[in-house]
Amino acid sequence: MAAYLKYLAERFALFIATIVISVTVVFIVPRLVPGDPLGAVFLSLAQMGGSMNATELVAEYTRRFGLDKSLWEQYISFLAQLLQGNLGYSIASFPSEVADLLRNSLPWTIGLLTVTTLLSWVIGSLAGAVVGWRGSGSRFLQALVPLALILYATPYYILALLLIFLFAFHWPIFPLSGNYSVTMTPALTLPFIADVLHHAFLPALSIVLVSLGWWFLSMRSLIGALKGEDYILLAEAKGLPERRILWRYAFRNALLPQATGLALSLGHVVGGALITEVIFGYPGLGWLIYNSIKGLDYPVIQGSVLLIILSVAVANFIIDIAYPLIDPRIRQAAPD
Amino acid sequence: MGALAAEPVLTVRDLVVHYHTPRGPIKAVEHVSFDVYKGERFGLVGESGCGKSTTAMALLRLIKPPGRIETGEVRLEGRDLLTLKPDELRTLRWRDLSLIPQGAMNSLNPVMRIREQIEDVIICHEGRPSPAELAERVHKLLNMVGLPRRVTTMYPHELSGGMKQRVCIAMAIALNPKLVIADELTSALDVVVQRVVIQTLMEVQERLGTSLIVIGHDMGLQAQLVDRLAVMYAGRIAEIADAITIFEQPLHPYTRLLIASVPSTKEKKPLQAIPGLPPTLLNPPPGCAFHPRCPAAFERCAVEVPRLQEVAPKHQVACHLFSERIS
Repeated sequence: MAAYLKYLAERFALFIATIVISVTVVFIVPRLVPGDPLGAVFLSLAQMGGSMNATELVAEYTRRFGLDKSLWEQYISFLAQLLQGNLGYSIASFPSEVADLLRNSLPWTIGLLTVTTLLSWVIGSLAGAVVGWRGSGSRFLQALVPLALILYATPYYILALLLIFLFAFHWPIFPLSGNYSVTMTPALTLPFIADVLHHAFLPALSIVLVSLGWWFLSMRSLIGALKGEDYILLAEAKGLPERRILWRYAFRNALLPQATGLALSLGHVVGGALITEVIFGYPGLGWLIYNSIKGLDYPVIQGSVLLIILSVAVANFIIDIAYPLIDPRIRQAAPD
Repeated sequence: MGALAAEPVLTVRDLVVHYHTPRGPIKAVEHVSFDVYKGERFGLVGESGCGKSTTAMALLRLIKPPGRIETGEVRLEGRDLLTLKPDELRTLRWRDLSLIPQGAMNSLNPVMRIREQIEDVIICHEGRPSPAELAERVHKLLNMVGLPRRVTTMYPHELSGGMKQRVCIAMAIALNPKLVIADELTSALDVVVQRVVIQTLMEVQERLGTSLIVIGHDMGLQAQLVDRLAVMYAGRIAEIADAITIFEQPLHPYTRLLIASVPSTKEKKPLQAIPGLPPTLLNPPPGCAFHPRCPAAFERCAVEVPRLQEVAPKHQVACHLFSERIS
């Protein structure tokens, strides 16, 4: 137990260090990009024909966002704000608060990505296990392997574009973009939920199909490798039904590395499939990041990237503490 | 050692197992025949790669590709195992014929509790008894092999090598099979633990009256364990006889050299080895496979494969020195 606590403390220290370093990087990197956020804002204003008393306004904005101060002072005040849980205001869509922007986009991303990640993991793992176990015995199962390889190798945005072209443009079964119809008012009603699912179908399909390939292939090779294990052979000698050997002996053991993979990719759920969201005009976090980077909206970039880092770090931390619970071997031999 | 009933539990006739490799078939088991009687401890001994483990796996029909059982007959109480349908084979496995595996270290499922792994065979073969009855049976089995109650809820990695081996023994006798095959029972254990594990197995076997095939490479160890002994060389059986006879009057030159090479604690003598190396089974020498290393070889040995023949009551040898004598 003491060893496990020591292990926990170490993992936690690592977790904090990760956060501190990444916060700093998140602060510095956008500021190294040439251009400035106000330039972007006023350029778009000017394009819309509203050229007002620009110089004064720029000066006011600059003062307000502290962009006139030294980088060091900006960093300190950023950290001070952050510790109070304040992410600040968006520059591009002032006076919106960064926290509000995140709150509006996050549920869409989490909804889309959690469902698709879990779905592809479950389908991919189950199919991979069956094919890995008796793949060589059946032409049909064998044919799934190159199919999975093709899916795995397909860039997800290409598949997304293909799906849009086929099922939203050529045969307009699904909407081209957005998260729900403009005519709808968000509410927990059946028609609204149906509308949301209708909109989410193509982006979800593009993500599931592409990530499915990986889970399928990795489970297949895990099961293939386990087939030669002594305990599988003994299970066969024991006269157990084949189904039981596959699921209780082989699959259960292959699940350990596969579950790590799942936890890791769940950590990336918040980061979302940035390009998928851009292609499908899906207003999640990816879409928000895309727009904030385009407009060099420092506070929004910082806030959203920070959120991603935090969730990846939390997911990793959870794997670290949960892995000993899944695998009895690690539970015993708590690493020193 | 128990009195031997005359009827065999297991008869193996003309068993041939080849591994098919791109360079040609590896003739791991060539025309092996032997009987195992009721309640008997039968030893199968030979160097690494002589085909003894392959023979064991073939009896259980667990030969995996590229290996294949080419021909032969394996009758367990009259039923030919090699012609059983998959379902019949599955129900027969473990209930009639169980295995104490060679790699006991890795033969237990790492993510299942010991209790569950033993229960598995009971449930799958006899249906699910009441939980209390099931727990009682598992405890009894573990008790038989000298393991404490708390082992039931443990995982394999929490056990020592000797304990895992005992779990395997407990599991092997769970359904009270007619025949248990113990493959290299102790090869991964240190000498002290070896002795304890072997004693455990012998006690259990005596209590249950099961027939037992003990596979190993240690002549000295076999001498203390078994009633009858078969010596294998290059995929074939060289000699079969009572253990005492084999040690006191070995006939086959290979057996003689093998016994001479067992180190003794009683007399001080230089360690003897058999000159040369065992042949590759991909391309064994013509005639008797042992002839290149045999001190007594003559012309016929390089030409003709000697057949296993009874040269004295219950004493079979495959060597031209003795087929001469008969013919």
